[in-house]
Amino acid sequence: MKRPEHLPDFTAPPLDEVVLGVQFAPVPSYTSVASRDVWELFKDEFPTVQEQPLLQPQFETFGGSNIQPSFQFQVGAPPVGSRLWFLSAEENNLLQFQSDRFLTNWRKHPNLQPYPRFEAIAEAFEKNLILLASHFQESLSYTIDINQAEITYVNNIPVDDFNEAGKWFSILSGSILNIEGLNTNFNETISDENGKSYARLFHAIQSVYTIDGRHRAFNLSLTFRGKPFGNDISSAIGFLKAGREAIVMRFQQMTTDAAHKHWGIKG
Amino acid sequence: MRQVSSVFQNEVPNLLSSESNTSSLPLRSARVRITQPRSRWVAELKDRFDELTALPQGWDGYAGRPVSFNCAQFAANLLERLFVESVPAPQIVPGDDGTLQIEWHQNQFDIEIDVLAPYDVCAVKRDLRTGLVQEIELEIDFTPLSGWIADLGQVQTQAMRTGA
Amino acid sequence: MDCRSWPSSDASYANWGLVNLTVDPYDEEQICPQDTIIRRINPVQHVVWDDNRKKHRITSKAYNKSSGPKAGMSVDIENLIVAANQNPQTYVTTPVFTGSVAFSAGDVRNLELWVGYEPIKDVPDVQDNPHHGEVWAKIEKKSFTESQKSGLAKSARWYVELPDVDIL
Repeated sequence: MKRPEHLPDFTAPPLDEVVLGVQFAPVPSYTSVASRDVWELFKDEFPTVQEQPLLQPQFETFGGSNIQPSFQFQVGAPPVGSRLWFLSAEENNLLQFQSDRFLTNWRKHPNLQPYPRFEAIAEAFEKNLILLASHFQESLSYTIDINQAEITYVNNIPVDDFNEAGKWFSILSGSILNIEGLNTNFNETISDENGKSYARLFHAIQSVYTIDGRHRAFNLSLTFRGKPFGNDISSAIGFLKAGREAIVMRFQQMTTDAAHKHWGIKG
Repeated sequence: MRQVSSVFQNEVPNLLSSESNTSSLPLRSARVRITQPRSRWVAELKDRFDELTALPQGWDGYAGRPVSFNCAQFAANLLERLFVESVPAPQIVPGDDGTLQIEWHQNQFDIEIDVLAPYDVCAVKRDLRTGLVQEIELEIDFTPLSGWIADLGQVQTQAMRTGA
Repeated sequence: MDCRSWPSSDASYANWGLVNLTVDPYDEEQICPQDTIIRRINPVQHVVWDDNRKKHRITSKAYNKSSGPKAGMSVDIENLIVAANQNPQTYVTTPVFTGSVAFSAGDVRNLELWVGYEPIKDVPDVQDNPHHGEVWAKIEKKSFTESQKSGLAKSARWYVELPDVDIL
């Protein structure tokens, strides 16, 4: 997988986490007992397991006069089961699995790691997804049916004062506001070459503190989510690549030239 | 219980929920929530969704299954998107295969939206005045349905004004 | 084969594909055009209020096939029930009380649909039904067409009537 040359590149981007994921039609007759077999596929590289609450199904649809609700609500009986985290030894990489989702996260913390770049993360994710799909086919007679994919870039921008927002974010530069705290989110529909909406780009900027309250930062999160054009793995990876491009371009647009220089923009 | 949305207040340490798919920020200790009700349709239909997803096996006298949680959730999300204040909530009926159908029969229109799976929807609109029947298949863009329901809403509003 | 030569009461149904609802769609020659095909109607789940016509009626969903390959619309074959010395009207109201409508096999076939045997046996949590059949679309598709569904509704008659509910 080759990095597109037109994309802005930074030597030290403020990236804190990158998430790639797919949602698929729930595996019929899947029970928690089968999760052990799933972990067996990955445990050499991801030896530690943790349980987390289930992620709710998400569907990006278009049309209609109402904005997609940003909150999660649930109908029907509460879903049974849990989401599993498979963590690498150094805990900078993890896989997330539940009966209708598979995601991978690269994290800068806890053991500071250089960003391996999207290409490496995506290649590893594709390999693991193919492994999972093969297991589903052989053991559960299920052909993976992907109905959603998403990619998220989480950036942490340390600041001394939240009033510095204009120095980092072009959408706030020149502002006369004396910002004490910031919490904003908005989304944008993304259209294909025929003008048809097929994905959403979610933007969120929050002022955050470390747990000890001593240090401040802006958390800039960009998520590209939607239904890939096909329901197979190849279509999902293609969708994630498109999402990565959209996110990187938007990151550059939302942040200031001074910020770019600080992060070592190339070229 | 009213459903709430998660909107963080800026004076509270902003820590993402453990229900997020990003993992970097520690588990939350507290966050402020703002109450934001769902649309009237989904609020009125919540019990019906719960009923359909809990139907017993064989409810139809054959091998009928309950409506799948996935279908129900997608349908509820779709209704949120399509909601029009002037239109009453639809009726929902189950299929024997975990699917469900959303339907309106009023103001000389029949609108039926058959949710076969997330992103797999067949819909039909019958205009009883003209006899015109439209059938469409939809995946992610539900703009045509929005138009159909808007028509229903306009006729409804007109009927309310004229007392027809 | 003479379509009237349905199996006698002590016949085995082994030849009719007791494989948990995975019979490939086909049209059964032994089901004659005038034979009665019964479709059960749940009195709560299959009934809607039609404000246009000011009445309760059966939803079109009840006249549709299940989605998925090889799936059809579940029915009971009256002749099989009779051949087994059982009362059809009692049979189709157990184990779950439902109303039911009936069509002739000929009316079903006139809608470009097939009707065949598909006994239910050994399906978890489902009562065996050796008299179960299926109505299939001739060409594989997700749903019956609008004209097929309305055609079924128009040709239907009550078999076990639900009070104050219209067929269409």
